[in-house]
Amino acid sequence: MSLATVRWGALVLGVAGVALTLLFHWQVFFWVPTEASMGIVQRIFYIHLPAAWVGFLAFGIVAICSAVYLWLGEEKLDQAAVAAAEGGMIFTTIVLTSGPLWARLAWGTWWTWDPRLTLTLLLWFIYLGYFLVRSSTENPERGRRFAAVVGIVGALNIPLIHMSVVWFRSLHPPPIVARQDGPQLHPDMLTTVFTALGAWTLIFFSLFLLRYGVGRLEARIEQGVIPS
Amino acid sequence: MTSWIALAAAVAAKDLRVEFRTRERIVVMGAFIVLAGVLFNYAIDRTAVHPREIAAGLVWVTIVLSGLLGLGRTFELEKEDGAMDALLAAPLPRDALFVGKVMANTLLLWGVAFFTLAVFWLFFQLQMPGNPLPLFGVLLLGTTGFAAMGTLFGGITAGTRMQESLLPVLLFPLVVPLITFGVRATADLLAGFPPEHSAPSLRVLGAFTLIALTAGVGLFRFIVED
Amino acid sequence: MNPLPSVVVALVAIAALLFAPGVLEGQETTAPRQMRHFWHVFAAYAIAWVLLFGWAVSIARRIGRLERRVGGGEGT
Repeated sequence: MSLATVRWGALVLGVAGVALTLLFHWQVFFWVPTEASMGIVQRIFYIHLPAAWVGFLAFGIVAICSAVYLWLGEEKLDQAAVAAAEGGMIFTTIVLTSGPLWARLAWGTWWTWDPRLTLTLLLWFIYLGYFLVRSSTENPERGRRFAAVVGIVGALNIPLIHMSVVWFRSLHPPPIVARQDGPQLHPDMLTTVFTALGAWTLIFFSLFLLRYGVGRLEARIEQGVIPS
Repeated sequence: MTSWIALAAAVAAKDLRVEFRTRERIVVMGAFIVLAGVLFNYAIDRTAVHPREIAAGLVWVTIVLSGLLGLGRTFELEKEDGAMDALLAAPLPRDALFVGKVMANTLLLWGVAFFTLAVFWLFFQLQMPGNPLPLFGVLLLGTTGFAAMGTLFGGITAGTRMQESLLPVLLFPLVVPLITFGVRATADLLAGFPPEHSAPSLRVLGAFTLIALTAGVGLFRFIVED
Repeated sequence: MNPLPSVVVALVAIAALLFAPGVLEGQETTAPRQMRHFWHVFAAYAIAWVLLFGWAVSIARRIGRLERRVGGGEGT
């Protein structure tokens, strides 16, 4: 993928993402009905759930790119992994701040040891380790390999971590969108959540591509392909 | 194949021999365990909760924290006098080196686990189950996985500026399954439940150990090569 | 490009977002629970916007730095 394609892709995805974001904000604040039992605070749901999905998606990209990077040694895969990890950190932070703001009013407590919230917290710390390992190595090439190992082992452990956190009883509502018997949600709420999901997936990929392009450019300047 | 195992065993024997001669890690970890027990005694209000009731959690937290002290120094010796370069130049597959290191660390952590159990038994009047073998099995299996995971990440932190102070940040999120299911099985066994009751927890501990070992064998060469 | 103005603008925006719902809280006697809900929803959305915007700004600054290195090579 050439850098011009990356830039155009980022632009197109970004414009579409911002448009969808405006749309879902209008839906959230003016259109969607208020949930009966939780009230207005339930509207946090429309950023909370999509952010969680994107955060996990980003972690998948980090793990796959890291594994292929170690396998093929292609530097651009590492740059893609870093770009995804940055985005993952941003979106998991959104999950971790919006979750407590919602929980405080819905269940009367800022923090609950809810499986998915706890899993996100641990994911956040795995991302943190990913960046700490990179920044604390003198040899950047070695830092890339270390970070890739952290990303892969983190992903391998996710199923087990998930099992552990699920074992603790949960206040969190059971899945309401991803269910076998179809989502249990007012159709307007469902539309809103999918708009939000689309908006943030697009914004994530737009910024991911931009960040990836910057990483490629930096590497080319470092290697002297582009004279500075 | 036999020579591969022999090579790994040679690495483990070298590490253990050095350890028994210097006794650096053993002394520090042993003292840590006893002193942690003393601190727990003062930290826990005995009128509210008897330490015996939360012993399983205390035992595992102590194993993980004292184990961290030892695991962080796995590659300490290799950093001096270019010993790592010599080890890597030797006709020794990287995965055999990893397995050897894990073997030495595992034996060390098995010692840590039994010593912790003994200290807590003495301090907090733990009631051992009639047949202690399943309990020992849980401790041995869990610490094996912890040693494998810790050796891999110890190799990573040894190559960073932050050294072993980075190890808890990398390792703690990943040992959550170990703590959850290790504590659960240990508590059940200490409470006198039959061993079959803990089979699901043991399976998770086994899966954790397997993942840690395979990941280490497959990925270790990427963290030592230069 | 001096980063200071953009930082000041961002800080003012954050302050506005954080304190505006606080103004509403003065009317708590009417519907305290309702106001508290608004406050939390606004805070959650504001944090999300600030984080995403911050990520975009950090990427833009990286691009700016690269452009200066490539374009203004003689000057520095």
